[in-house]
Amino acid sequence: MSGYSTYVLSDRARVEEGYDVAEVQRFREDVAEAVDCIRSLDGLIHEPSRLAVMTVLRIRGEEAYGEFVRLTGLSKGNLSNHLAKLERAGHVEVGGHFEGKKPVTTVLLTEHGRERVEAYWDAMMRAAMKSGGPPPGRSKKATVRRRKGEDHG
Amino acid sequence: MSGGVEMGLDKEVEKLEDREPANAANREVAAISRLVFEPRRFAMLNLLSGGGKADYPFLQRMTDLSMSALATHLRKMERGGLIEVRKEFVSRRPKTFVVISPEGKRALEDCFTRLKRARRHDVDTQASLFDGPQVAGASPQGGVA
Repeated sequence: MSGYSTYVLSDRARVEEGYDVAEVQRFREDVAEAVDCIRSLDGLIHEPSRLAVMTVLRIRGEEAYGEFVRLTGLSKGNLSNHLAKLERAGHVEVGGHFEGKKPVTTVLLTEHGRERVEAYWDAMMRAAMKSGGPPPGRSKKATVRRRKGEDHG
Repeated sequence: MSGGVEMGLDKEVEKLEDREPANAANREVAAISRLVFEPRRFAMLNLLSGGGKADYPFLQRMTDLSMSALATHLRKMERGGLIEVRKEFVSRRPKTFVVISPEGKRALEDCFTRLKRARRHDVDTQASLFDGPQVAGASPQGGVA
């Protein structure tokens, strides 16, 4: 384990020798912010299938039920479950109309749903920006390079 | 062990490619690994992704989980090969640290790639949707007096 210099994420970890205090502070704040962003995400939207549905709706506003199968790759049964959950929470409204004699079920993004999905993407993009940064490193002692003298006269 | 996550992802990608390539972005999102995407696990992977090693109390405070719930999440991620759990001696006492594994890093990156693609996909398609009446807030370009 010698030479293993990973930064310790810990409540108790003091700023050990060799770490830049400001850098450590910034790293800790970034980590905390990324985690906060993720924890603030709407749990209902965060499920991958429902996120795909909401992302489609975010652009289209309204979409025919049948289209979701094609756009998200979910099965019909699966989809209807997810849409029911979103409808119960008031994120979407499921309605229908007739096209000629054919009934068409449509899904509409509500104002509330739009706010939630925009907030979701904002938080997610912020988390993506704040995470993955390198942890602070120990400053290395300046290595002294010795040039071998070549000139001999 | 370590192949668990990757195999899962490969299978999902294969499933996607069976279907039409159009609108793959939304499908990729729908097929994000649940092992990675669960909010608490996602948060933990994020805070580990830089390469730091975290101890249990820190993870517990960050995620607001009980010790047993945290241990369950960590076991799941360890089995999936996303993290490595290490025991080290700190002033003669054994202490447990968690670090992200290369597979875990890849899985997290894959997850973000899918999300970003879906988001970009949004933006790209918006242009063709300007004529649609249902796009709220998209003001038509030009024609301003």
